Amino acid sequence: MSLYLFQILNGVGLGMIYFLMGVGLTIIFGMMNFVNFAHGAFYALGAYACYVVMSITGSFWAGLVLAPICIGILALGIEKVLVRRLYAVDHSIQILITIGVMMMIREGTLLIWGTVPKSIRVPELLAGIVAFDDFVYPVYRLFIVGVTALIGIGLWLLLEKTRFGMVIRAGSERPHMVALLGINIDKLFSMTFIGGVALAGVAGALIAPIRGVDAFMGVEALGIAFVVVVIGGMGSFSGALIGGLIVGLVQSFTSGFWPAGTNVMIYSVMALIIMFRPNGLLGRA
Amino acid sequence: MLVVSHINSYYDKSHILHDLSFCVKQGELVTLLGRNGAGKSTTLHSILGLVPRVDGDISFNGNSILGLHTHEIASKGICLIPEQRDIFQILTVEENLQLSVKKGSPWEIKDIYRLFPRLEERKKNGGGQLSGGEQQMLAMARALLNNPKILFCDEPSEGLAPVIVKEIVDILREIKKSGIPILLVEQNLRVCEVLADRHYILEQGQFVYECSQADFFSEEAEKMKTKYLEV
Ligand SMILES: Nc1ncnc2c1ncn2[C@@H]1O[C@H](COP(=O)(O)OP(=O)(O)O)[C@@H](O)[C@H]1O
Ligand SMILES: [Mg+2]
Repeated sequence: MSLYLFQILNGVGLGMIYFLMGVGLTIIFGMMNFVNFAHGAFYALGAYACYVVMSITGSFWAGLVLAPICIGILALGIEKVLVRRLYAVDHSIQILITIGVMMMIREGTLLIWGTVPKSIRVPELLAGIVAFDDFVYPVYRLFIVGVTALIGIGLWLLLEKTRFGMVIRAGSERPHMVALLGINIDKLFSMTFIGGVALAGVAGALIAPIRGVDAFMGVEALGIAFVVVVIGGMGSFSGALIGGLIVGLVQSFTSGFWPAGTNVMIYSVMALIIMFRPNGLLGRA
Repeated sequence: MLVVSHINSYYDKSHILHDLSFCVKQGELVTLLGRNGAGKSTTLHSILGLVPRVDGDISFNGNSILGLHTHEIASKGICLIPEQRDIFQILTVEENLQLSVKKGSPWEIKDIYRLFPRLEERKKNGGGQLSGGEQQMLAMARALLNNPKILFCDEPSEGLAPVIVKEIVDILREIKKSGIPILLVEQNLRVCEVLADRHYILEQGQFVYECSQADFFSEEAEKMKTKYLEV
């Protein structure tokens, strides 16, 4: 029993991290029709940013807060000089160019921080374990579930209950019509890009103490983020949540009995789902 | 107030509009007529900055608007009611309206519910659940809330039952009475006849005829209608 609980909690925690990755990717795709293969690289950079801030200030909390801000500022620059010129071009060109960005970021991190993974120590406050009877669980992993849930709720409120969110939702469906109502769609696009990428940065920073930080974490996360988006349906916020949780749980349970097969299982589940629902669970045609 | 002079519009390499010039004056309702594919929608889209390449000049209230972004042009009060209605399906009817509200517009949401009682009944419904007629009403309502200085209405009666068409005509008449000029694209000539001041006929991206409402039933006009509008 407690083994299942352990795996469920692990799966939910991972799943919520994947949700943070997937939601940015899916909203950016839904709205700007932009395929961002550099998304994983920003996740890795989020982890490095957290590491750097922490080694300067000594505070994990400062790292957690400043990492997404740094990534957001970087995203602002990249959107201004590069990405906004790509919204109108073919997907194949977007993919080629963002793969280029991804490789530049990866090689850059290798040059600066080398190949040896960095580790981040969990702050004192979250370092312990919780125990109920015979069940023990690391506090930090519970913290991830809590923080990501809060971010998820915040995002949901932003999207569903504010005018800004209404504009985002409308823009993800019909950007031209939003522009025809006199709303500056270009500004909305760049804000969405920055927000989505910053969420990848948060995910990277949150996972860093568990996974460690290295230059290759981006590629790994990119693949998973795409699976999440495909399962949930392109452009769907709730789809990213469900997709993230499914992938997290599949990964967590598989690693219990067949650690080498987690990726096989994840991609099989994806294949199975799109066989029955080609647009993903909550995607629109 | 809207002056289009010598525009040529292109989609990629295909040259769609050829040296088109026309104007819409204050308070006027002008129609653009022509068969499917003649370039009526492209004309509206060219003015709104939705066509990738447009040469020539377009001015609105004396200022050139060619080359501006669509949202800048729309902010000047050029409001489109699109042919496909383009309702936001993931938003409710009410949210579709709220999104369109702009300060200074003569119409507020409560006026809209008076003009279109159906929309008030449906306000909690998703935009995707509306009938064709309701979608058309919502598209019109959105434009009215958006503080229009001129309305572009692209085939409002397309696919709608006669009773609904009559309702739409009444609304257009009321908008016209309020002094807002309208550029109307319409295949239903009855609708055009009862509303318009002037008509232009388009064929393959060029104007082939232009006349006032008074001349719309002249011998020449009838000939033109037969030649360019009948299918
Ligand atoms: N987005 C587009 N891309 C390429 N060609 C287009 C596009 N929209 C319209 N066209 C072409 O432009 C011509 C005029 O179309 P349109 O303006 O929609 O006609 P109408 O509204 O009079 O029926 C047609 O030949 C059509 O195929
Ligand atoms: Mg048309």
